[in-house]
Amino acid sequence: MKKLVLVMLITCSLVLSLSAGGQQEAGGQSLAGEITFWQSYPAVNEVYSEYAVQYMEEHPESKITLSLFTARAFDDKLNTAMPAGTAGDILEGWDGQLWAYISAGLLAEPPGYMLDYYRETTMKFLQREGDIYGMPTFVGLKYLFWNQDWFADVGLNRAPTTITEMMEYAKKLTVYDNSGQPVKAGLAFRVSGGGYGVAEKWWMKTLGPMGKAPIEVTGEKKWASNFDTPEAVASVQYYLDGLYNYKVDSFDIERDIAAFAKGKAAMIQKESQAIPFLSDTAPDLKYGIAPMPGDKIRGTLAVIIGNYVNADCKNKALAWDVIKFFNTPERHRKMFLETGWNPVRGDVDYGPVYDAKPKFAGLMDFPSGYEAYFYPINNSWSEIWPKTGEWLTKMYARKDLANDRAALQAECKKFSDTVNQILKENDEFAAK
Amino acid sequence: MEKLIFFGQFAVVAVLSIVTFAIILAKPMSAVRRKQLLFVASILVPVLAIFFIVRIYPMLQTLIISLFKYDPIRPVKPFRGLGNYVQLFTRDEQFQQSMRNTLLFAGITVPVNMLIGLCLALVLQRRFRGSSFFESLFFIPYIAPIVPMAIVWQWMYAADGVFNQIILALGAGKVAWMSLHTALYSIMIMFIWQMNGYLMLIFLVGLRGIPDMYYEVASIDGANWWVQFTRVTLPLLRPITLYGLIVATLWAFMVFSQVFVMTQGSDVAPGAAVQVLVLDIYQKGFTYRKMGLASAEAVMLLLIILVITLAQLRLGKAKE
Repeated sequence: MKKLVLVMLITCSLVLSLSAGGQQEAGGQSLAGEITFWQSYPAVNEVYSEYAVQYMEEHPESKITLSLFTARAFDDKLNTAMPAGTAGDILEGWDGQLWAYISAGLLAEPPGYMLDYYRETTMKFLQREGDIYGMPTFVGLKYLFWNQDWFADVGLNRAPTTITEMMEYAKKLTVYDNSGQPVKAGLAFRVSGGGYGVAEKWWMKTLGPMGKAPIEVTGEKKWASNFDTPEAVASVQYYLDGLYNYKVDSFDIERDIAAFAKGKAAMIQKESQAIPFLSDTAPDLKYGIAPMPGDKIRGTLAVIIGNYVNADCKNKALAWDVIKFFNTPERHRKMFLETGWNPVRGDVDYGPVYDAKPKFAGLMDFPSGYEAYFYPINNSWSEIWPKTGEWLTKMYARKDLANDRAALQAECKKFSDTVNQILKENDEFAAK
Repeated sequence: MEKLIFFGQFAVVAVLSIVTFAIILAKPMSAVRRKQLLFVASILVPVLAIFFIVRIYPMLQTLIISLFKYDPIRPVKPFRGLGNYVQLFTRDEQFQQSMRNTLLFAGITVPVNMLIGLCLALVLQRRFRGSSFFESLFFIPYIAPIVPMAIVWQWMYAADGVFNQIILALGAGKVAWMSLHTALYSIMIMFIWQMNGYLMLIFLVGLRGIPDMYYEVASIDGANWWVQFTRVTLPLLRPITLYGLIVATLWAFMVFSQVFVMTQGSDVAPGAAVQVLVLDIYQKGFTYRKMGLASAEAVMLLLIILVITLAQLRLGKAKE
């Protein structure tokens, strides 16, 4: 009987080892199985769909299903799917967006070989110390897009380098009707819309150059609001001046990149992913791309988008392998070329991309001292930031605040208290 | 605590079921009667259990969650008692703004919807060539899917949309239909357009149900159209009017899709700055994961609707 059991055990282990030998492995684990990949960036999804097909051709035992959600739906979907254990295996996002899940232990820690990959491949200025969960895949850096013909018409031949100069330029560039109302914006302000957009544009256009972040670190995993600072007040005032005092933009003018493409805005701040859009929609538009204008500091908000693996993922080795596969040097170049999103790999030669699309050349060349600043990583941010957008939308609609500094300060103080309250509710507040 | 309450609800249902069967078995009665009662109980208990799970349990669970600081991804969900309710009324400006907006929305759309529905029904009451076509035309928006309709209206309200084109053609200036100050009213117009077809239909059914002899008698007595309308039509339409009023009020308080689609996710939309109660509940629950606060707000919405509906019912009965 003992012999029979022994023979069966040996046979079973032989069969298992033979079947495992037929499948490829990563980190000593099988790559067979299925994974779902949740994304919220449409252009990247298009490219990744091709990569998924390529991966499945190379690994017939694996199946990858990509799902694309709108940015707004993505957050809401995660908030219900993560606790229910039904979210995708790989999630596309950024640290601040996914921090609640990271801190709740719902996202997987990368294995050692992925951390090595992170250190070896990611551009040094985008690397973070401490807890690394997502593998960076692209980065949203902001640039100033300026209409060269329009600038030339008013005697300007370069992009502004400071936000004061930017407003002066905007005044010269704005086209007014007979009643003095702007019909073409000298500078496009983002004054409405859902999600993070309104708040993000405000930070990188005015508050960031003024040297402040919306909240600042005041201790170990503690923050406090900066909304009551003179810089925050001045940054909102900048918008109100643009809308009501200098009238370089208005609520009635079409906005965002579509307005720039149609020649309805002379300057706009946007990520490099707008370049392919402009090539398609306005091929004759002559425009320049410049680093963001500064004030106390000069730099850009950098939103590093990465791929994260769900802690519930049953095929983690496969998931990490897919992430690496989708970001090989050749595929990383293709992603950059086709989507326009800034690449994150520092060990890749982007020369072929610049040859194919000269507009991309120089995207990573910044003036000396140019800084990248990042979203704070805490549990409160996912509530603070959309609420900042809502608050700013209301402030921008308040014409009465444009010339009433005291009232504006009071509004900023009130919202600052709201932000601190959110931080307190998450046990993340410490006074400055 | 949370688990105790969760399982407690099902335990109560199970105990009640067992007690029901025990009483039937223990109580002295004839065998035939006992058999009949056991049959009735065994038919009713599963149905009532399903009713409890799909109808009562979600409401109870909402009420229970409203007593906790409930983040679905956090394992610890501290008990807050009435803390969420206190927060709503003392320091939740978003809720207070949503409440004001929803009351304004209901205050305008309910009477306007009722009035337009009634007027359309009065026009279409007498059958004429093409009346069926117009009935369908006015009713179609009600059965059309809300989301694509809202997107179409969003286009129509755009800076270069059809409304502004018409206004420009008439020589007036463009209107910012979806600005922070106008968006709620623009959504009301779309909402009324969409919903009054249903009210028209029920008023039409009511009007056509009034026997002609009442009008003939009133005519013989010398009553003009207005007297006939106020003394015959309106009193006889009261049950329909009451039903329409309740339905229109429910719609207005529970408006969500139109606001969600038309205000969010676009650079030209006002975003979450235009809030109504259900949208605020959605955002608190699904965007900020504050399920406790969202549930408290849902309970408040239920209470508000309940009070208004009961008041309308009582008012309708008092007049009868």
